[in-house]
Amino acid sequence: MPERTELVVVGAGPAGLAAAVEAAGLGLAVTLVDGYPRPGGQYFKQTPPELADAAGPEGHPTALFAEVAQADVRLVSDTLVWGIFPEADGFLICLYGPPGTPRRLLAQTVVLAPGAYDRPAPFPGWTLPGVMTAGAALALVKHQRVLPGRRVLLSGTGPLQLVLARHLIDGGAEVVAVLDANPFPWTAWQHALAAWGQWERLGEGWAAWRTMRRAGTALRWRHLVRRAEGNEQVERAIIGPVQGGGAETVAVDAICLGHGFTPSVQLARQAGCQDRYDPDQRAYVPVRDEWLQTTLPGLFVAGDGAGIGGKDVAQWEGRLAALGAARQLARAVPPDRVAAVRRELARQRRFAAVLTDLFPPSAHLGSLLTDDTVLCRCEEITVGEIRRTIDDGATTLNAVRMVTRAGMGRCQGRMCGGPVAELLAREIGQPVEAVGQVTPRPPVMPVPLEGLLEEET
Amino acid sequence: MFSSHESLRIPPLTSRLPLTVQVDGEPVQAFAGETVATVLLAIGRRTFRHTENTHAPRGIFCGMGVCFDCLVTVDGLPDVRACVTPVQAGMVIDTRGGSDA
Repeated sequence: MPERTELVVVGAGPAGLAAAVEAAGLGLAVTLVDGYPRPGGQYFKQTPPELADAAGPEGHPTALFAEVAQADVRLVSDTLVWGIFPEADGFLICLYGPPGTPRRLLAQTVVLAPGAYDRPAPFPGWTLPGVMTAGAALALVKHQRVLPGRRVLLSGTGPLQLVLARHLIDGGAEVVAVLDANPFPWTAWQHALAAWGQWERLGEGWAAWRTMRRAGTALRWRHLVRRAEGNEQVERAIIGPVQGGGAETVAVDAICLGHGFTPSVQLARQAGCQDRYDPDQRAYVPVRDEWLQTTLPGLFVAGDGAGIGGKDVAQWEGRLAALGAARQLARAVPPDRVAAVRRELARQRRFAAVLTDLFPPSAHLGSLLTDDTVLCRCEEITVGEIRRTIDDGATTLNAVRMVTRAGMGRCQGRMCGGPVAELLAREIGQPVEAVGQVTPRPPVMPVPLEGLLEEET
Repeated sequence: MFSSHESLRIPPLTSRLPLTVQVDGEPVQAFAGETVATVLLAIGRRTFRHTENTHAPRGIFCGMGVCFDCLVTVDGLPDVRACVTPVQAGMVIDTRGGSDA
């Protein structure tokens, strides 16, 4: 029999931690499940204690760690949630973790706080070792104290690139250039001034800018990496303006891709929540009501997994979702608290909108794709193979997937789902929401066959 | 054994706890708290495996355990995500096994 609990929170980043703390404060029995050895997710990622002395003063200390430790929250770490199934009396949550971890939980309510991952941005050569996401490089430098390479190129959009450049330079790497596919955000500059002092990432961006100036690192707007070349790993990058000619070749041993983030929607979709295409996010997001409840009553989604808003929006969404879960469980929910949380969430969302305004995701990447570019990294499916299925009449993502296997590998379409949909939509002249999407099937994360069983063997 | 001066580790290393792992049969120095990916990157190893279909080299990509590109064999267990797996003293890491994707 699965263990029963009132609330399961999935993901221990800012949204999940805040949801767990808020719910425990209301007296709910809470289990917080997280896929990593230490809570924090990506925004609050903790440096392993053995490396903490070597890490810089920054990190992201958050009161939430202490609060969750003091609260009556059961934390289940290093454990994957591979499926969620609505049942008559709640949700069956399927887990796979170290020996002794429960394999099943039956939760009356669920708050999903799965976060986001770096938006995959395919271009020729992007599978070569040494080409990685900006998020991967930042985690390596900040929390593992190792450089992704000695001569590093950054290409993408937005302020995270500047933060990464600063950490790389401080760590001793040569940053050959930072390329931003967007134009300098003159038009949104006034927004930025309005948020000055309240938006710590702008301050962080300014510090990064000064570090780059001192190191002589070029920041080039309307430029991007067009191709990565090398034998066993990346050796050269061909860079150029987003539109027009003038490509040049630079020697590099690492390329970091920072095209913003895309929500992790796989669990919500697998569970059966309805979603909608959000053109501002260039992603599908779950449909939610004013309590952040999905179309499945009792199942809530908070934080970046419902659309990128950053760590502060995520925390207040986590709190609101917890209040919603308590309400669903017919607990007394203090109206003052609900009003305060809604007010703070609205304020944080306004700041997040400024940043989205300043640094919109670039839409120019499709023009880089050549027929031999791998789109589906798992199954090694190229643009050419997908174009052939389109020539043969495929008009939906599911049709492309059935013919080519794109999206059927280990990552379950997390990497290729968006790029394949955008390619397909472009080729058939339809909006991207018209080609549909692929529904992840359980297990949404690869788990050994034995791990699917209800009891350990 | 690779020495620290040619490593990509960011100094200082003085407070770190050294341990030894095996990479493709060779002893390699690692430090407590590092992941398998960090140990490979630190010795200049970017290629963690070759794909089954085209034998294309692959390494770390997402760095957070969602892309499944950085798979290696650890203590005989295939398809382990190098980017989220902490090293332990005596761990046997193999990058030559390929993958049965």
